[in-house]
Amino acid sequence: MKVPASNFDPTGWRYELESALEAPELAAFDTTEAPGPEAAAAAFRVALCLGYCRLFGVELPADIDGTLPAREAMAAAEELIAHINVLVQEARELPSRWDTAPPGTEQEYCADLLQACMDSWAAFLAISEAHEDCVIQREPEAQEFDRVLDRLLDALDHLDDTLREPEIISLLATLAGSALLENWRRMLGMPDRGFVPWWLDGTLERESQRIEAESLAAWRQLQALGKVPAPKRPADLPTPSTIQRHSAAAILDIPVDVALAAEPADEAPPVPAILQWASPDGRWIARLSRPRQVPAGGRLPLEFLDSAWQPAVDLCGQPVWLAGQQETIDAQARASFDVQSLQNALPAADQPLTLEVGKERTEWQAIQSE
Amino acid sequence: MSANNFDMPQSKAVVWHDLPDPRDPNAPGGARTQLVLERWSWEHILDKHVLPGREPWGDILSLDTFRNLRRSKSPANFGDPMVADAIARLESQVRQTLQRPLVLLLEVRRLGQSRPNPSRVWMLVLPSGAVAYVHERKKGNRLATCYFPAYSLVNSNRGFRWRRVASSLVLRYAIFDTQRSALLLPTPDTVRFSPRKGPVRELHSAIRFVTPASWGFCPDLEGCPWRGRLGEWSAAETATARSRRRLKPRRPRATDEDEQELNS
Repeated sequence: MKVPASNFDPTGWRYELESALEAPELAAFDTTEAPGPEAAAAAFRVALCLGYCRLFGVELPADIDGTLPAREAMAAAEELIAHINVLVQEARELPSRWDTAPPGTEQEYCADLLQACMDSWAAFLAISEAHEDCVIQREPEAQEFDRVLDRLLDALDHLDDTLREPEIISLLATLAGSALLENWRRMLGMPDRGFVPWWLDGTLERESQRIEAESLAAWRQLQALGKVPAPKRPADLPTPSTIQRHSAAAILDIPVDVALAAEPADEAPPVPAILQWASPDGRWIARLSRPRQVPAGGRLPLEFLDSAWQPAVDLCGQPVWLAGQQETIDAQARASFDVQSLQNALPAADQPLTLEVGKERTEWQAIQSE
Repeated sequence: MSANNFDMPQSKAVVWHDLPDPRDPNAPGGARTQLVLERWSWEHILDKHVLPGREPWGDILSLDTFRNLRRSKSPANFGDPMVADAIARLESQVRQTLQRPLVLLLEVRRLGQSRPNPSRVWMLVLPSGAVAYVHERKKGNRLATCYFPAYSLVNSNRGFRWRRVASSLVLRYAIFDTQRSALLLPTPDTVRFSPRKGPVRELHSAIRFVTPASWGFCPDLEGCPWRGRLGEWSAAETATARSRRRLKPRRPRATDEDEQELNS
């Protein structure tokens, strides 16, 4: 069910805008004196909240909606320029911060920077809307506003250029595939949206794939030279009790008796879930599309992919066990399993669904299901 | 504010006792825990976040202490009363966060590495808008770092800053459901596959917002959607009723007219 536009405030930005408009510091713009830093910060906060409402399509009631007055908008722009200068410094320090960050916090620095980019974009939207209005209405501040906006655009370009320097973007690319980017895209209504900034247009994903491809090439080169460390001993691998596993319910819930039904019972998608696993070294992914009903032939295909999401043809010929049922990975990096045999092998829905690959039957780890 | 205990040999660490344990289902009630701030973690916080001066540490440490720390020749000396005061103020913020609570718990498992057990991480949003990271350890839970995220630096309003930081973490760990137009609370079995540098990847699992309502989730609604209304936090700000400023009337824009035409 679609949420009525008037109630659409999934990220609370309307609420934040209401709060921002209550800042007493904004009263400084009612005088002829130059606004102080507190007033400029309050104006920036209004620009940020208003810009996010525009970005995410939040409908505003008449008493809240509007355009930033020119003086507030110029002060917000100056504040944003100062902020961008700090961000450029933060971005330049990202590589050294990454190297010295406590484990588990490195990516947070990258996410923080992209969050700052989103904020800059949102605030810029509100500021440029105010600029357009100021120019069209031929307000006395128009010329001065032109100059401020030019400087803001230069600052934004400078930030973009800095973030896209090879050493920095290679770290930002670690966010490719993250929930953060995916959530932003969904909230912005992509892919239908016209303009999207570079951090959401696939640039980071392409950079990530490039790095992965380079890493793999280097790995293979080392393998060829015999310089790759010995394979992990079984004792080094995750113990069975620590491995994440999917539940057998995913297989047992597939209704076998409607396998050859001509039409699905409703208009639900034919594949309600995709189960995924990752190899212990993180090089390979396995994906099993769990259908709503058994496909013709009664077999489920399990795909194997490499880090670039291409068929993992290097695994061709390897044995694979799903719930203990053995098959072999074919030349298209697939193995298909008989649903009835899988269901017979799984005693109960709360039992684990294991995937083992290779002659040593290495168990792979369950990862986020789609 | 409880007193710091410098009860490790040669003051190499500070232990904060009797804190609400966010892992307890009844948090902030129930079990109590303690955190250790080791000197090298404090040095990391100082070198990377406090001393450069870009982050608003005056909001945690007080402006005087912040200035004194930046001038001090031995800001990492736990025996210095000024440093002890700074650490007590940091402890106070951590305690207030655990008391609210506003904590994100998760397990991090790095694939391609030999260590089989996951690291357990706590992320704490402090009333000042800084984020503190705690690593669970057998020897004691350790405060690994604490800093103000880059995007929060522009927000001088503390009440707004902590909400921005909390919202940002929700965006990273919740899932936006387009059908419901809402960010939903991750379920206990949600596993995040997080790509990392080169062939190394991380799995994030057991993601738990403690407690969902204090993060702005609505447990009474189906799917526990996030509505971004984190409410007030007396530790962060004092709310006062103010009149709301009006913006300029919005001039119809070309895109608005197009939409109206389409709708009609």
